[in-house]
Amino acid sequence: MMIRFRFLFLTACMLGAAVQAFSIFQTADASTQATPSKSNLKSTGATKSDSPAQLVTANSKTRVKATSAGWVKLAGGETAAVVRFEIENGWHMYWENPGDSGAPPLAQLSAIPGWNLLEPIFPRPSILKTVDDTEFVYNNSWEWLLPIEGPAGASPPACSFDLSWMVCKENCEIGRGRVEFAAATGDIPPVGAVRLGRSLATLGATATFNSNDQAITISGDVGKSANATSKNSSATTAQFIPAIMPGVSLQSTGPFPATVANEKFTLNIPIEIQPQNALGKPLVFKGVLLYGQSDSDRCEIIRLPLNIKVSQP
Amino acid sequence: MKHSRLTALLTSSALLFGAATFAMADDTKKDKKHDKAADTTDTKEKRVKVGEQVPNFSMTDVNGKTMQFSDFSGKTVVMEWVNPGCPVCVAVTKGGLVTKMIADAKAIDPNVVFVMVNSTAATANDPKATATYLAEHKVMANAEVIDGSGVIGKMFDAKTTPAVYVIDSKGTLVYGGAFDDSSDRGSTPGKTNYVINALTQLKAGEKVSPDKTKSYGCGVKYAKSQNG
Repeated sequence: MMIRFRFLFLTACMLGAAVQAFSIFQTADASTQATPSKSNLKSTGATKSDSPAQLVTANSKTRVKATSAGWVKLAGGETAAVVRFEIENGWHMYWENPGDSGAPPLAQLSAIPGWNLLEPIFPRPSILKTVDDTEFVYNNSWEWLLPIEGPAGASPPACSFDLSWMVCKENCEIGRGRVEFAAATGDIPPVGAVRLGRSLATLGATATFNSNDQAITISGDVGKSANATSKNSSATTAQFIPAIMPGVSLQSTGPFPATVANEKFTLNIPIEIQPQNALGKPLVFKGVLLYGQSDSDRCEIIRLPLNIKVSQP
Repeated sequence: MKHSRLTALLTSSALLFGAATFAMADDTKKDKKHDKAADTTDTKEKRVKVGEQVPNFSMTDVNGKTMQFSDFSGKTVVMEWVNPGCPVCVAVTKGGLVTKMIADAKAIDPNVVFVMVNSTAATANDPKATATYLAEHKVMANAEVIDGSGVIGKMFDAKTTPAVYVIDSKGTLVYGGAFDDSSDRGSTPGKTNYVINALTQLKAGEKVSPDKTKSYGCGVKYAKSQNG
């Protein structure tokens, strides 16, 4: 049985050293919004300050500086806080799937009645390969989107995010900090109006699950990517890196390179369904397609529900 | 004449017996060497996956004492990868999660064996640091193993500290992956400790589920092999 999904992808990418992105997806029959984050980090109480956005506290040992970069409006209508990380030279932070080791940053919205933090949106990572490991990382600086949802029509109030992150070089350190955001006033700029959103596009890659072969096929057009990317880009390749997918096992950490011919690419990724490892969550194949080789090239989020029922643990 | 014939017969018999004995002994030696080589080859090349039998392998503890995995035959074995220099490993250890896990595990299965392994090259060369680290945090393991060559770690494909593996009493790897489902890398305990989950299911005669999760933590920085 071939199940075919077509998604509307809003993609993420980066210009220069700073990568940025966001994405939502839409199935043929329904628009799906990111689910609220269920972080277990302890709440620290509401912050009512209207002071300018600033970094309030940080672990002095950490190699990372986290600051507010204001609010943006996402294409789906949500508002997102933009946290900018600046990382000490030679150190790196992690994408949502760190790869063979590491851990992504975590965020907890200060307790403000009626407001919730949705699933954070990570920009395109770099691939860090060593003899033993493959990791998906950020170097230098990057911006993280923290979408929040609240009462209909309400503008985001002043709030703060408690952050923690792992930053590594030869060794790793855990850093913590709180970033405060002033209440959003006036028109919130669309994500496309700020640096991180300049290169957003819908590239229309498709992902299908062939249950007979137990494989995912992703296909698309690298030409679209090249056209949609900045003028300096030559995105003639595509590769897929997987997100964390409980219950879906791949043969390796990735990346999985695509075969490109006449600007069309196809990627076949064998998967092993392991319902016992789904942790009671729906089985979803997800990750990001990286067009081109440069960190400033485009990327596109792939999210494919596998429609296989799993029992609760 | 008769006497000399008898002597010759006895002498040649003794020589034959001696030669045969020597040959057998040599063969036994060769077999032992072969077995050892086979063990080494297995350990170096084979990566054990969940559901597979764990081959025997040698371990050297923090005091330089050598032991065999087969020494724990018939018992459930939990292996945890540790690194005193990893803040995530320190978080679960210093926070008491490891000692709690061991206590909870012993309550389920008093015979369960805990083996702490340090495969991180930079710290594995300092056995005392690992021993002190575990002692300071009252981690009472059955063995504290230094795996400086990374042979054991690579056999289990241990990528992070902490990563845990559970081998049942029949020697089958039944769980591999994260220590628990902590949402903040072990700073606060998760709802489920996967080792306790596995031991509970083993005791109930159930299939271990989940049997594989994504481990979190610092990467195990293995020693660079001669082949690069």
